Amino acid sequence: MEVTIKIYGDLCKKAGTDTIRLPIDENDTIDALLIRLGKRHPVLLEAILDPTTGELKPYFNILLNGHQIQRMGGIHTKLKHKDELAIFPPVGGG
Amino acid sequence: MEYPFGGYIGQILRVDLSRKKHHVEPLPKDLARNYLGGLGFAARILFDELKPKIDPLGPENELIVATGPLTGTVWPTSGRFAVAAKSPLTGVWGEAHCGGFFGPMLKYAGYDALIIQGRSEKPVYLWVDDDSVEIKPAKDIWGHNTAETINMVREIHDDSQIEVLSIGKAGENLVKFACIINNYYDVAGRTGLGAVMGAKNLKAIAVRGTHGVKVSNEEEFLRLAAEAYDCVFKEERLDGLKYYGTSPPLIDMKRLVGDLPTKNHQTLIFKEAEKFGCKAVEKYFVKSRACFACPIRCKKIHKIPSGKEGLIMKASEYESTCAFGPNCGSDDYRAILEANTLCDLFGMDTMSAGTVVAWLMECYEKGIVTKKDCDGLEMNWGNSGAIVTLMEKIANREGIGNLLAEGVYRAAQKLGRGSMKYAMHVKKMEMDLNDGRGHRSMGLTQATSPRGSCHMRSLVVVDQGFAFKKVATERYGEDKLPEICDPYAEKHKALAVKDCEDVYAIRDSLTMCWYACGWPPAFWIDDFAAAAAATTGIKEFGDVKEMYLIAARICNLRRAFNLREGLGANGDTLPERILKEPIPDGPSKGQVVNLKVMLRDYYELRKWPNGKPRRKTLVDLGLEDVAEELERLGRI
Amino acid sequence: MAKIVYTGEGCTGCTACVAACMYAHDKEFGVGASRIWIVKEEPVTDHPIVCVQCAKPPCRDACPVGAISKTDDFVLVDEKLCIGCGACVEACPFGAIIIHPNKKVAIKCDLCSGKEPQCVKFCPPKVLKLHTPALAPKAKVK
Repeated sequence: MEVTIKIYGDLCKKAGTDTIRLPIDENDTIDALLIRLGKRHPVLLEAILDPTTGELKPYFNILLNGHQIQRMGGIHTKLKHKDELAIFPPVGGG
Repeated sequence: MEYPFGGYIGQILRVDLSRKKHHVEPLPKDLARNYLGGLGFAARILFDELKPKIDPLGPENELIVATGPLTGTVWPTSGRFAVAAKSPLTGVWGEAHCGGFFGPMLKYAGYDALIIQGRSEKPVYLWVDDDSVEIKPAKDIWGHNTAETINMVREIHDDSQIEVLSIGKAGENLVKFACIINNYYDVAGRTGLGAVMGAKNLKAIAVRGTHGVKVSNEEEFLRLAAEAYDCVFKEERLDGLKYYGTSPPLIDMKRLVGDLPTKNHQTLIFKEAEKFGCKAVEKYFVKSRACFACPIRCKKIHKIPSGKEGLIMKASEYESTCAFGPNCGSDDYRAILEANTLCDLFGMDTMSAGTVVAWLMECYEKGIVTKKDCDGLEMNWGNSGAIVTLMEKIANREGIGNLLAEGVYRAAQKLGRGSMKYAMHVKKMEMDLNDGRGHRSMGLTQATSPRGSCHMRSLVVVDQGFAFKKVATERYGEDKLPEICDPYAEKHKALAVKDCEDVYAIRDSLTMCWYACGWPPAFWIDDFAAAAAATTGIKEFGDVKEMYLIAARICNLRRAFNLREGLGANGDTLPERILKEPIPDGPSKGQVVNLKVMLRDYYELRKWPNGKPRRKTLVDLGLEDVAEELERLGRI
Repeated sequence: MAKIVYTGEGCTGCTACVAACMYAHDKEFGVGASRIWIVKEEPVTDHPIVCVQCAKPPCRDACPVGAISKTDDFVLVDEKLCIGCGACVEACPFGAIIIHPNKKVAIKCDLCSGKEPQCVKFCPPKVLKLHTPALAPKAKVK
């Protein structure tokens, strides 16, 4: 089972790529995935995660299949095969 | 310091084009103290000096160009100005705000605001050179595009540093959504203020100023300004703007969350928009440019592959990209930039131009108009060549362009055949490229904005796409979660919309840029208060409660202006599509906007039963004279 | 000789340096009496112009009243001697010296009199630098 992570904006400079595919196990959650992500892309993880709380920094966000993870279980949301995550730097407006 | 308050110059320049006269009047201390500047000045002056029901294209309309106490200082993002008049597009309150360099230069010439009255018999331009003011013949520059006009004026006066406001062919031909250009592509865009200038036969306003702006509490001002510069890039919060500009990051986000107006708002998903996202446009990047003293430098210059040399153009902002792109079903980035550039040269609002073209495309799709009706153009979705061709036709009022130049409401009225169903407007102003079905608070923002559909007057970010929960909690309280951050919920949205409307009224009066307090907020009203107090020396400005009071006063005054014209709750609506047609696909599938409940909450918070301010509300804000006039006219 | 240098790219044309310079000298923010200015050519050129503190200053040589001199650190205008004739303005190949529109004397970059140059401080993209002699290649004298 695997998921695709797309990195947007200037964050992809920190990741060195804009698309990352990672394997997942049954019942894996987003925070477990982020830990695995951090091993391969520590600079990216440092940019988006607050090291003291383990939570996403206030202005960074993750979409799961186009939906805010805040509207699901936050970083404890469970993942499934072929899910697509988008990691986004701060953006808003019109 | 001559004027008792810092930041201000203390002078207003009044020009009567009918009588070919001008004079300088003092800036009333009450006006500064109670209305702050910029938008505040414009609202008070227009309410006082315009009578109801005047023709916006007639000599009785007044064009106000107003700066605020921070304009011209090095406070980051303060180099802006407000323009206002009765709008020829909507027939009610018209305002537009602009960056570039004109605002600071007007103050350096010695004026806080400019009032243009009357109408010139022949085309003229205004030349303001410190205290020398001349109305000069414009026959040599009339007919030229805005870039040529700016260059010619600089050449005539042998000074490349002069700042110039200019209209193009669209303003000259009274296109209902003609705009005013400064610095080639900085735009006072919406509500047809370019047509107001055109109707007055005023081609340009040129300014040179050798004086300066003094601040009251220098040490505090410099300390706060230095902090403000650092703050802008703290936590990389505005890096998206710095690296990519306003369009690509928003296109990426809105595409993913299902909030990207597509094909005249038929849906909110447009896969091909990836072509204008951050990754795709990176290869076009040439450089960043900035408005006066701005560290964000959100403007981008792009080079598109074309022939041997490539084509260098200014990159479009988000609204323009969506207007000529997804909302017309087009994925042609080059055509988007071309249409955007033509709008700058002809002096036309991109949102209105794009939306009226999208309307025509939907009419074509539904068989309401034929190829023959459209001067032989095949108005299929995505026909980017047709979009570009139509820009010139509209500016010159040629063929079908003459119909479109009236704006989508009048065009649909004239065409009939059931086309009004597809006219996306509020209060006769074409919709901005946002949709309450993908971003619920936006529905309320668009419905209640005094100038017609507009996102800028109260754009709420906390429920957009991502939900800035921390910001929402700090501003509105944890008890408002989760709904206040839910892009599809109506609950608590009125609270956020009203709050933003107040804060942005202050922003537009100081004058500051949306990007100072937008996404995420570099500054908020407490920062504005501290900046205003340090600049002016007016202690009360440092109190956030006082700022909110001034904001409420300005918002009520705009509302009163519209009520006086006969527009109240009857104008606070959204197109049927937004209220009734569920989004067919994507993350926002099934969504519609329940405007009624948000509007009810908003009126309650504003103390406007049925959309009309109570007498007491106005009196408490120091607007007793306004209350009396509205009562006399039977409006409240 | 120390001088303000532009790193060569990244200027956004914001003119914060221009306003900060005028403020540093006249205590008011403006652009008409500044000792640094930006050449702009649409659509892509933004280039700061400021005195390069010439080794053989043409402005000094052109001045009929000897109001311009060279110290160890920079080229300096004595405002008390200056008659505002503009000969220096004509002579400067960079356009880096102007006549103050209100004081009517020649003004040019004075490196903020040894304090922190304000143009450098306020430049948002940080493309202005104070170049000091210690950093310059030294000509070897035999």
